[in-house]
Amino acid sequence: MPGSVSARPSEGNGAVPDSAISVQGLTKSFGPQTIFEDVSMEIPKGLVTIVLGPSGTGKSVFLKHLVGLLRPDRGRVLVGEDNISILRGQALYDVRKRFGVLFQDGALFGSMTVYDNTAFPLREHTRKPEAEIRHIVMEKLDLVGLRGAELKFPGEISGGMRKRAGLARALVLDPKIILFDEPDSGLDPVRTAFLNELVLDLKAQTGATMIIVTHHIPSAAQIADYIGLLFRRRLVSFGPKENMFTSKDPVVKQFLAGATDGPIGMSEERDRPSDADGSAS
Amino acid sequence: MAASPETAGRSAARRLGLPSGLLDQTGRMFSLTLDAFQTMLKRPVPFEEFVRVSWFIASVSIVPVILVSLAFGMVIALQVGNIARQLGAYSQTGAAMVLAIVREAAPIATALLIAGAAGSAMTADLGSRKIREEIDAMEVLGVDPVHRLVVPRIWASVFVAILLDGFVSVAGIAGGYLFNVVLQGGTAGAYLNSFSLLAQPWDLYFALLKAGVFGLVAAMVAVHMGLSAKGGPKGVGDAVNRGVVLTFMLIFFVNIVFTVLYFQLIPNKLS
Repeated sequence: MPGSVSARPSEGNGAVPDSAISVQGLTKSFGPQTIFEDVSMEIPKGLVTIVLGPSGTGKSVFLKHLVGLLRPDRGRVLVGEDNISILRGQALYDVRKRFGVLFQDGALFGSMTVYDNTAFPLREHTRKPEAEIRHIVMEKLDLVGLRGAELKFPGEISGGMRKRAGLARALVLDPKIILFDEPDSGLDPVRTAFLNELVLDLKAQTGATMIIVTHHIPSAAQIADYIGLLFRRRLVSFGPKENMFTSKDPVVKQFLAGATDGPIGMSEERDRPSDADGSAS
Repeated sequence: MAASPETAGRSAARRLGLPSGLLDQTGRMFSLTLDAFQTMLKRPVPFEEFVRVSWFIASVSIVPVILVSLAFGMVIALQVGNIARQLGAYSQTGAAMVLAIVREAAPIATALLIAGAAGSAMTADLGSRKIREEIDAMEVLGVDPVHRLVVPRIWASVFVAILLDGFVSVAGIAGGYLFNVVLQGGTAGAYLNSFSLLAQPWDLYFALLKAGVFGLVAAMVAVHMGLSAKGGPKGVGDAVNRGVVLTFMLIFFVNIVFTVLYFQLIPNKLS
């Protein structure tokens, strides 16, 4: 199977990049429903990793495991040296300070303005004076094109603006790892293109590791370094972008081409485990 | 890895013949409260939020609770006055009134209003934050929502319940006065004088303690239901509904325990 899931996939020149996050044997069920079974991947440091998957494969659940919002039933998630799956209390919060997370709808605090939302992490975790906070906040709001909307409340702005404000807040502490939960859902094509450009800029400027879950193939083609494909509880394939786009795996081929012909069906019921085993082997 | 609390609760519930999910709900609620007590003194103490929530609880419950207790006081005055008149003890109505209001009616009325008016709003507020992922965002931004949101709500609910209880007692007794003296033509002196015949300071202390515990129960249930809301806006509605019903049941149950304890621990004034 191309890009075997547990092995560290090598880039074209044969160098093996360091991993920022190591997911090992992640297994998770909610009640009788199994979401993941033995998912393992090494997310390379300083690169853009895109996790693709049909709707309902638990992409958001996967992200929540990476920041310790959910705990796996089996397996573990290592962030650097820290096993975030068992940390609690202050130790957990300390590891989380390395992360910036963009939630699907921005997850802004409804009782605060866009400005206060963006300033929140700075006020919580730094002792910077208000003037400096203002400088940083306005810079980040500028970056996402929200200068001028800073005094609006989340209820007063559009979904796309909320998402961009959420991004500004996620970036404000200059995190080493940035997670994006469907950054392009609800954004128009132009804003999506700008966002993709922003991701590439951030990668170049800060060297941050970025993990994006989406099902938007053009974005994946444009900005990904590595691509993983989640399907039927498993990581079907994971590897450098080039390998994925030339993959012979029927699931990968169908998903990347957006074809109706293949192992992925319309309804989840048709995605029978036996088929998955057949296609993944 | 050990079984998750969820599965452990489920199987324990099955063994005891209880509906599945009941024990793990209870367990989660108590563990949340325990977490809240643990982080209660962690700095910075969320004082601003405490003041804001206290004001909110007071502002939504104070007017209805006074109206309820005035009316309640009148009904009790009517009932007690009627019985006392038949027994030829009409001048002692005040004595029975004050006990009924201070011991039972005021704490219960306070608790029901705090649970119904403030608790439901608290659940709805936290529930909608939960489904908008605000709570997750807070966690990821390195801020403990238990410390920031749950602790001030628990404190505020206990604090306001105790203050309101005093207020409600006065309003209830005033309602009784209105009915007994002004409308039914009783003697003001006899009504007021008989207060100290049966009542003692312990009645008030115990009532305040009871009100505080009811406030705690209301807040525990409200925050737990809010933070465990799931499944979109309908989930928030369900959480509010379950929260109010559960609080009412718990409060009446806790009240029985308190009343039994009271008669065991505090000797009657006339014995």
